[in-house]
Amino acid sequence: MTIKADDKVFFSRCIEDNMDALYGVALRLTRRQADAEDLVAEAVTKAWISIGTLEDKGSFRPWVFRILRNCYISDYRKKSIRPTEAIYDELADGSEDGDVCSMLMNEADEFLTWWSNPEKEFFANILGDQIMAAIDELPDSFRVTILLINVEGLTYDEAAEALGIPKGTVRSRMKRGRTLLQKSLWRHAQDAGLKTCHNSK
Amino acid sequence: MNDDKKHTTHDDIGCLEAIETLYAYLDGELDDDISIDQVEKHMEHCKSCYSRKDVERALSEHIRKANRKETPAALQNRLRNLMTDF
Repeated sequence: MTIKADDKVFFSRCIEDNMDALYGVALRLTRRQADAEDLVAEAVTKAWISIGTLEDKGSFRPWVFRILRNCYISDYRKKSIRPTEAIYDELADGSEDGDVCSMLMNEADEFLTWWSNPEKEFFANILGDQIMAAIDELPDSFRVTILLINVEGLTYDEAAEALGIPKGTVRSRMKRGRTLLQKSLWRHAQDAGLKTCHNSK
Repeated sequence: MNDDKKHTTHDDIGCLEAIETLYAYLDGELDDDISIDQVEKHMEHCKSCYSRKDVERALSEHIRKANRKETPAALQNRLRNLMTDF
């Protein structure tokens, strides 16, 4: 493969533009700064080696995120996989969407009530940390999908390309991941004292 | 093409369908099975689903803010050195 000077300029500019995004996703995947930095460096190196496989320069973002994810899977995930991971992965891709919606429908409306209650401001102040903790609790497949779409702004098509999955699975993971996130946040809010406030009214 | 999404006639959707499509709706990724108009019409009349949309939209914003990270200077330098050597 011949690498042109233009490729290097293009590549460097794209990495500069996406550096924070790559690091942000890597950090949420590995949960450790040192590991995240190594992961990004490895992904950038592999991306450069593979630059000839990038057919459409407009697809750089999903392409480089896919390389980052593959590096994570091959080098990091197997070291830190959690016991529930496999179960959640099955849930992510194998169940019917209706199951999730039923879960939401049947869920008590406490979260919605919380959102509109007078203590909202107080909880909003601590919500940032809770969101981080709740996202960290999510299985990889949900966490990465939510990060790519809600944080990095990828479209469902781009996320599907980055994750190597069908668009329908992206859609499904968003529903399931966000549902789990909401439930987790509700638990964190209760731990932070919400129940006391809520019950005392 | 947007006319298809504006001319909803009879297919009012229920809470289950509204929730099924909520995230795609908020992400601007609604497919053609259910229209934007149908979702919004349902939200107008359903306080619970409207609240859920409000929660999820705000939550999306919190997720975005909470996860915005700046690359540490050491990594910036490392990557730039790497790319110089390419």
